[in-house]
Amino acid sequence: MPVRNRPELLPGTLEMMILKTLSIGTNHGYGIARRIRQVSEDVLRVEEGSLYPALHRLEKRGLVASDWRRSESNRRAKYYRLTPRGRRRLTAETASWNQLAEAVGKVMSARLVQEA
Amino acid sequence: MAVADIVRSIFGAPDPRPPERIARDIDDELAFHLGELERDLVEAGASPDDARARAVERFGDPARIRRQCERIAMEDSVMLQKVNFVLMIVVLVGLGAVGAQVVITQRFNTLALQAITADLANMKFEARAAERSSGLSGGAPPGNAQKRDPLDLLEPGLWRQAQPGGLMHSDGAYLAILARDDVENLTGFPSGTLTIPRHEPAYELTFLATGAKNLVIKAIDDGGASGLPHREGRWVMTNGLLILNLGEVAPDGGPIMLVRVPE
Repeated sequence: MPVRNRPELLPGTLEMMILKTLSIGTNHGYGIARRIRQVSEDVLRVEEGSLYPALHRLEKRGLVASDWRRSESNRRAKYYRLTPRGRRRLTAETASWNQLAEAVGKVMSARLVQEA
Repeated sequence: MAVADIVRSIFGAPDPRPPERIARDIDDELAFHLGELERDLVEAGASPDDARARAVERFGDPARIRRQCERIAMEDSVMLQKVNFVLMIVVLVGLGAVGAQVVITQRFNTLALQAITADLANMKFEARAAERSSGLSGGAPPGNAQKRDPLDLLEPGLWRQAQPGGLMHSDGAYLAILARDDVENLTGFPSGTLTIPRHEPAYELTFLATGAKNLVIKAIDDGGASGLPHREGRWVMTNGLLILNLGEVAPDGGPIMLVRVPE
């Protein structure tokens, strides 16, 4: 069931999720989008086309690399893979994200008492 | 991090593909995504038309995304063009600054040289005019008048030490170069008394400037060595030096110049 009010992604989170998805293995753009949709249980179904500018920026910065191959459907597809630099960036981004999520989670789950 | 990595992280890696190849690759990549999406939707039960419409809805505007991707691909070349342009400007400005410095220095040197040359030429002209009007060179041999122009003595020539404080030119002219303590008896100017203690025989000159460049030697006490009458002379103040041309009063009959060296 489609989610009408999907949360908007924070800046940089799409690139972080692409890196995370590619850390599992090489994939093409459509495969990356499909995996993000599946893992996020349709909550984070972003406009799939926006994946490509993000992918191309990552490739330009040397965080991912690509080559053209035949897909499972025997069509010519561009496959992306994580570079060593991309893996180091993912490690740093993951630590930073966890710290942020934990801090935000603490605030949101705290029982705040209004000051008199 | 290597310099190449820093440059790459800032500007991105240059894309070696020609622009038309970049555009075709982007088209192929986006078409693959839309084709796969349509195929999955059809497999899930949608009609081909419905699957195509829903695929575009989920994907977004392919033309807009294509433009975004092309812009990213061209960013490096545009950025490199900008960097190259800025570097070229910096190099040109640097070369221009160096060139301007050289031109200004040469111009300054040329002007300074011209000023010195003009000054010397003016001095020579005035000296000759003064000598013609005063008859200072009248007693000199005809062939020596030009050679013994006192101001010519300032130019490089064959000089040898004649005696303390003096130089003898190969032409026989004598140049007395006086330090300040040598002219301590110079009691004033334009009139005064000048003593040359190291000169042998010692000179004591009493003179009076009579015009802008001329003076009258009122008395010469040289112990009777020269036996020459008092004559008119000429003075020049230039470059901090007081140059007195006393005419034909030197023992050898040539002109003598007394140069007061500034402190």
